[in-house]
Amino acid sequence: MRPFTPFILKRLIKDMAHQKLLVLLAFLMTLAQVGLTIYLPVLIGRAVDVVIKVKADYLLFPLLEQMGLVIALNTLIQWVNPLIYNQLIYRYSQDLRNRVMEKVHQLPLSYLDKKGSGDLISRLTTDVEQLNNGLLMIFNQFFVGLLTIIATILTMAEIDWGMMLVVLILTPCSLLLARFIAKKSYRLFKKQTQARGVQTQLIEESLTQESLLQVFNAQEQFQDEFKTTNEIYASDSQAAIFYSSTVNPSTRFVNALIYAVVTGFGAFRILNGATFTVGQLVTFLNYVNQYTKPFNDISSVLSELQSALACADRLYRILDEKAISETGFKQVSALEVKGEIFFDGVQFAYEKDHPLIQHLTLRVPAGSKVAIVGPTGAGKSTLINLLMRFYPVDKGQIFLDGVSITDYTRDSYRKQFGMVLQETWIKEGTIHENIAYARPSASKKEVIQAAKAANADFFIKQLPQGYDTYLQDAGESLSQGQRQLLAIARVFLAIPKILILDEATSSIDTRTEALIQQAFHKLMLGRTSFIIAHRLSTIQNADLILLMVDGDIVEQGTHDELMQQEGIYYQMQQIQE
Amino acid sequence: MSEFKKCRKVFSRKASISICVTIEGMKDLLVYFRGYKKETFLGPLFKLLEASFELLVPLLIAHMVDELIPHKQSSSILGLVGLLMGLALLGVVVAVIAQYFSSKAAVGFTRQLTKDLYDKVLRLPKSSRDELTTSSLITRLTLDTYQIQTGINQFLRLFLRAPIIVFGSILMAFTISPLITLWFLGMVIVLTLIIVLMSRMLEPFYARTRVLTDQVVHLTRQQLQGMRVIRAFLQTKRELSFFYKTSQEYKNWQIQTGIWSSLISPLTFLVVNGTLIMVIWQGQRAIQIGQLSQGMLVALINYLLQILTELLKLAMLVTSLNQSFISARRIQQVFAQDEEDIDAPLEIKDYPSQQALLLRDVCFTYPQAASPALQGLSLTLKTGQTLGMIGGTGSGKSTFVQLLLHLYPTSHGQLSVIYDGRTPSSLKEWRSWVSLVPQKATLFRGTIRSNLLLGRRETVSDEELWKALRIAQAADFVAEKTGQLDHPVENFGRNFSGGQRQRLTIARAILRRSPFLILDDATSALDYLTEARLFSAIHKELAKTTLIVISQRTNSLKQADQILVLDKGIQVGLGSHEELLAQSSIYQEIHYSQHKKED
Repeated sequence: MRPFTPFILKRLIKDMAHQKLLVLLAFLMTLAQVGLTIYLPVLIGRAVDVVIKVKADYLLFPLLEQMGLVIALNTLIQWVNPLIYNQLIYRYSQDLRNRVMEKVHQLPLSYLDKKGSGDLISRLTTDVEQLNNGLLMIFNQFFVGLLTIIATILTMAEIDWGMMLVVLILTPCSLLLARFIAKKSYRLFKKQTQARGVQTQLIEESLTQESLLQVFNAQEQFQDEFKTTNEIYASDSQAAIFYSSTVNPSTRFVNALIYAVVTGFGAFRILNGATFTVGQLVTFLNYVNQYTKPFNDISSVLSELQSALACADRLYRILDEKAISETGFKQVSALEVKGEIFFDGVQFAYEKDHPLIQHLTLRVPAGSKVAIVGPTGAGKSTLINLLMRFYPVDKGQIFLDGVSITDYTRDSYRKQFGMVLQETWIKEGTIHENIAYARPSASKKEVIQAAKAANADFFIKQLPQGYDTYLQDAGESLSQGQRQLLAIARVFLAIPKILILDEATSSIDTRTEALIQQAFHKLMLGRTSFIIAHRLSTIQNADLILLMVDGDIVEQGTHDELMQQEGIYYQMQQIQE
Repeated sequence: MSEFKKCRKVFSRKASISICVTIEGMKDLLVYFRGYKKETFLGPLFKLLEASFELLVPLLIAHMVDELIPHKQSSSILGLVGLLMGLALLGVVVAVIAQYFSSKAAVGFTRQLTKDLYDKVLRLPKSSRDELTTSSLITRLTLDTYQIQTGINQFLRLFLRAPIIVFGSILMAFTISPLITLWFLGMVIVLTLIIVLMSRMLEPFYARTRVLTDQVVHLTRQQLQGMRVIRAFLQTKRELSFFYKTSQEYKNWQIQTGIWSSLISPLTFLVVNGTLIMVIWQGQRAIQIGQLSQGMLVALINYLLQILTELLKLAMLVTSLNQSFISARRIQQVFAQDEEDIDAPLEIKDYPSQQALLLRDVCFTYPQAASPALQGLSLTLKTGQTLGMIGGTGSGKSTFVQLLLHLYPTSHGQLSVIYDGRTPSSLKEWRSWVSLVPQKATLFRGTIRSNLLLGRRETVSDEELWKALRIAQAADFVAEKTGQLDHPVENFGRNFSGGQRQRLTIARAILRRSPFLILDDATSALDYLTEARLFSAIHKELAKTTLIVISQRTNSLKQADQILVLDKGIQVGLGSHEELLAQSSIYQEIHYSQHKKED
């Protein structure tokens, strides 16, 4: 067991216990259910004895009436109980899911970037779901099971001590046997998983490139290869499945042995003239059947509990992360903002021991068009991260119109920016909703205007439902270039004071790019803009070109100035020509 | 256990979009039991044996109560205990054998099914693949087949055990007391009705739960991926409110589903135990008039309880088997698709021998699209000539390549590839004539050699491989790798740089020595010098090959005999570089967006 477990269990219980009434109710109802379940075989046993020995109606009918009452009550409780559990668990998990999501929205991007979206998604979905299932199982089987075992043992003891001991000593055998088999089959399952991995890879590789296979007439080649991996996977599967499937018959075998022993013991007790009756033997045999089931349940729940707790732990860890806090309370007024940016001795590193930006000082006059170029990993996007306050600077400051950007509230500061990134993000929804993302109230006319400015109107009109076309799967039906056009249209609708384009046109052809640039030029007249581009041809008219290498600005100036310097920029220009 | 659950979760997302095919169609899948008929039959048979051993137990107990205890035959009681143990031992042996057969049948079935499904998928035309989507096909080949395997295994192992025990118990009870057995029968009928009706009723509930699960997963993924944009546009609150709403809806639905799904087991409990009361009551009367012995009453009660245990298992299984049925339907849906028959004869037309390509008013509209992606394309090309193609995003270049490879048929107009004075006799021949270097340079897991030999079944000499590599400007870096031609390639060629991958895909296409070679923006990752060397080598070594070069850069097309300029799916220019520079305004714009005007 990992060290976190007791702590996390406490926390989980504490969070669940918020719903005090429900917890109390669940507890009482579970007790009632177990009690009634245990009591029924006792009644059956008595009834049998009455039937066999006394043969008297007047004794039997009250017993049957009692049985009827117990059954009716138990039926009701067996229905209501899961409903209470459901309320408890689903409410809890909804609350947890919401809290984690809210937290995620408040966490610094440095944390989210490091974790990667895949990990967080799986925590918020798979982990919550698994925790749900685990809890349901624990409530439905573990508690009921545990209580049933205890109550059964007590009741058995009351009827006959010796018989109870026989059952108690023999039962763990089936548990041990199940353990033993599970351990062995784990190894086989691992092998199966590996084989499945190989097969899945082949499927993915060949299906994502299926057109190519068909074009090369290579279908048969791959069909043959698949046959081989499929055979291996099948034989590994069979070994794993067969081996693990021997658990149930084996435990059934042990249980049958217990049954036989109890029968023998019981018979001799009756023979020896003790107080033991045939009816009690019936009760006992019932218990043996009833009692081994929760035993088996509990052993499977234990492993489920482990994984449920691990899930809970992963979720609580997110809740324990430190959220970003506001550093300033000034509001940027959209009317007054000019857009002068000043980097003053900025220092930044993603990882402490790998400094990226060492000492950056740069003044960008209001209304100028700044282009940032340089090789991959030079720190171009980092500059944007700092400017957008996605990451805080380690040292130094950034000023907007002479005020440190950390003095503003994040929201009012970011409101001044329009941003288009290379990796475009499309929300599930209509094209209209996507373009109007920053301002959901925008009219149809405004949206079309923005789309026209971004040169996206053409392809949107081609779609079956035009602007009302519903985009699924992050707009997978669109090409990367089309997605970029949509992201650009989004900015055209917002008309910000400061514009950031991070390789925003990388998947758009040069001619369309030139058209969009013109539109941007018009839009950004008198506004500050930062453009990261890998095609040098598109940024030649920038007011300031920054060439970054390894986090430093090594050359800066206009296109003509840099060409005259005949430095790195000049060389890059030569290569691209 | 958790592995299986995870699969189900992923799977359920896909299931929600499944289009229903009737259960009728699923019968077709039964053929995959071929070769495993023995196992499919023997598995349940051995289960039957196990069950019958279990069924003997209550009779033995009855015998003990009626005969042995009253007559105090303690040695016989010992023998009886021994017999019970022996039955248990026999039971376990028989059960393990049954498990073996059923696992073999389930895995065998799935193995054959998966193989056929994979083969089928590789024969699907592009339009079907687009419609079903690649990711869904992958799910069907992996998770759905897995689900079916689990389903069959469960079915053979457990689903048959339950009815055997149930009917066996009834049969045994009948031999004891036909009258009381009537109560048993009534109970089984009522229970079956409950299970069937409840699972019918619950199906739409579960379907909707899957849809909602999807939505939660989807929304989470979307928000996490868009975190920068959400923050930049100040939409955190709005996005969170969407999330809360979906989360709330999901919870409410879970609870609502629970109300009905939790009904099954208490109802079963009620019916069985109600019957029990009746049996005891009726039993007492039968004993009173001497129709029933005391031990037999005990046996009857035991049988009843056995029926309860099995029916409860059955109820749980029904839900799980439902999943397998959905999977089977989804697979059946793939099998129902039309195939692309690459050997079917095509109409052969004759042309002058130097003719290579003929387009006459070619139009193409995607199956689901509102307007054509290509229209009015007309041109002719001679053997050994080069056709250049240029155009912006969405201009139809990639569509044109797909038509050239006959991944789609043209909607109308004529598109003919011609070699040796005739058009191809089959799709297979068509594609053997046209070699492609795709836009996205990806390889397959294997070795450099296996990648170069894609689609080639005959042996090819190393010399020939190296020659292709030299033309593709790839020989240098391949020579430096350990093992050279046998250097391993990881999935999608991830262990090679983009430029290296691109050159290997070029070599792969060149090696086929096809009369046509399409380079679909295939030099984007190469520097200018390498690109120039590549083209000069191609022109020198493959002089007779008809080239079709698609590029974003006018520079790469300067050498072409004709350049086709596409804009929004329409042919807006056709001519040499110089001609187009003089005449086509779009070509000019493209050119000057890449080269500053010299004046």
